[in-house]
Amino acid sequence: MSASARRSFAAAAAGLLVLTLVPWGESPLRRLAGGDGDGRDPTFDVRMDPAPLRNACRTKIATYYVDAHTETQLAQGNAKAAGQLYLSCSFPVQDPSRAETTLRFRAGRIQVLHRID
Amino acid sequence: MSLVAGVLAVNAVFVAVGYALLGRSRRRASWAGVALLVGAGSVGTLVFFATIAGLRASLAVAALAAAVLVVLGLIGLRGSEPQTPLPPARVGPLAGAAFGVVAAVCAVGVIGGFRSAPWLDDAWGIWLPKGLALWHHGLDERVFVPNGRFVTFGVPDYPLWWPVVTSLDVQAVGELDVRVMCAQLALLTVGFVGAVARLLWGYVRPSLLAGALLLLALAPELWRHVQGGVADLPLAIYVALFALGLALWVGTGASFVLLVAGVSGVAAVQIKTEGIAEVLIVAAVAAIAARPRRRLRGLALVTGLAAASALPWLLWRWAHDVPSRTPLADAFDFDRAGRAAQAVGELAARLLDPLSWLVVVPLLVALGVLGYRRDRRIEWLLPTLGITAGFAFLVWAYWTNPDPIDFLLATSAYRTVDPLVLTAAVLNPLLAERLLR
Repeated sequence: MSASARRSFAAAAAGLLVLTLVPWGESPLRRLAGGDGDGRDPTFDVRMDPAPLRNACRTKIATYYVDAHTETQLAQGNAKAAGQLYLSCSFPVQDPSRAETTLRFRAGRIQVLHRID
Repeated sequence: MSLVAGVLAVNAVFVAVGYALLGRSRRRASWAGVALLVGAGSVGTLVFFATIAGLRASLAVAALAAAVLVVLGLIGLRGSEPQTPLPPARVGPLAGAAFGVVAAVCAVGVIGGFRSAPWLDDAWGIWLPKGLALWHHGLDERVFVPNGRFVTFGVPDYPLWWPVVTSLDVQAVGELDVRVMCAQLALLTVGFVGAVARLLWGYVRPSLLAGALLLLALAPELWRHVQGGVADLPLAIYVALFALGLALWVGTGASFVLLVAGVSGVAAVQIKTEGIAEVLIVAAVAAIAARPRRRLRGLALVTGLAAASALPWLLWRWAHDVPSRTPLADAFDFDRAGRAAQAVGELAARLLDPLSWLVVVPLLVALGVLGYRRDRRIEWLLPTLGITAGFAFLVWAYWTNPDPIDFLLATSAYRTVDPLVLTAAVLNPLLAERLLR
């Protein structure tokens, strides 16, 4: 690159980076930079707080069942996916009687219920 | 490790493996993008194959795969000829400014990737959970094969390169953080931009290269897909790199680009089921264009390698009775032909929408038509033929898919066109250069 090309490269790059820092509402550059930024958890399609699931794999869970039958189909899908995401150490079963643990999802809240034999 | 350190560590290993495979003469910063994509493609593929063989997708297995690839690279499985010195390209101030904007957009795009959780529910609901299961259990049929006892993953016929790579990121980070998906995609995308620039440097004048990269980098849909965790984007990256590698092989005969094309073709096949068809379409168009005809041998070699790399997963699926979701028996069910018409409309709208991909695809068609009008040579229209064939394949896929067509198109047409767009994006500068000569 010639000296003038280097200068124009640096000027254009710096200009765009400065524009990114300008705090104007919803702009393409702000979107490109990730907007307000997200957390480490997924953006669920329904209201769901996955906090109870975060450390679920620290206890040995062999099998679990997702109980979300009172919820909408979308919520049931999200609950299933949340189980497979956070309890990947374990196996989800279709029959609740075969599960060591139940993830109960009701109105945005998840409970982790361990079976006591 | 933090999110940033963990993802960067995994990608540093990818880059190191890529440099080893590319050979000593290419161990320079300008080759980092090519090295990243070659490394990620080959390590991800080997770890995926290891899970088919019964191992888990752990960092230890990835380290072993990386070590094997580095050794293979060092003992000579690489583009062995020294890098051909190309005439120095003169970069003018305008091209320099355009490269500057591309670099800044990429830098901000990477920051955005690390700050974004994927908006696509398939990303965190299917792709990443599959990768985590591969880490904890390996390719366990209890969750990977539909059965009546366990809750299994959706789209069980999809290959598992993307789950493997994102799972390695999560393991390196040390805790579940879905932002690894967007961060990884951002790095692959920036690597792709760098790889295209490096591979075309010297063959295309800098002003055209800068303009073509600017057109791609400014496309809003590119970065939206990065922040979606969309698996179609890495598929598109590798299909496009396969196309570029073959185009350079056909045009220059430089044998090391066959390595890039080979790894890219293999990786594309391991990402989504449509990868194999898209790779074969690219190869067929390149075969028509191949002059001298002796270059067909190299083309056939890498295409055969890519096609053969589908076998391990196909055999595993066959052994475990995991069927394809688009059975060939339904291929020409004319009672459902209305689906094809709907698919044509929706896919064309997505490809041509200037607010999504700017004018990447129309530019390819326009350059081809201009060249054909000037020279009356059919070669000018081959890139357009390839995109059209890819388009026809997608229409067929929507036609035969059993899911409701409105839902299917609304939830996927915007991303299944990615390989067509990125392939057009890498061929545009080559066509423009030829037109100006």
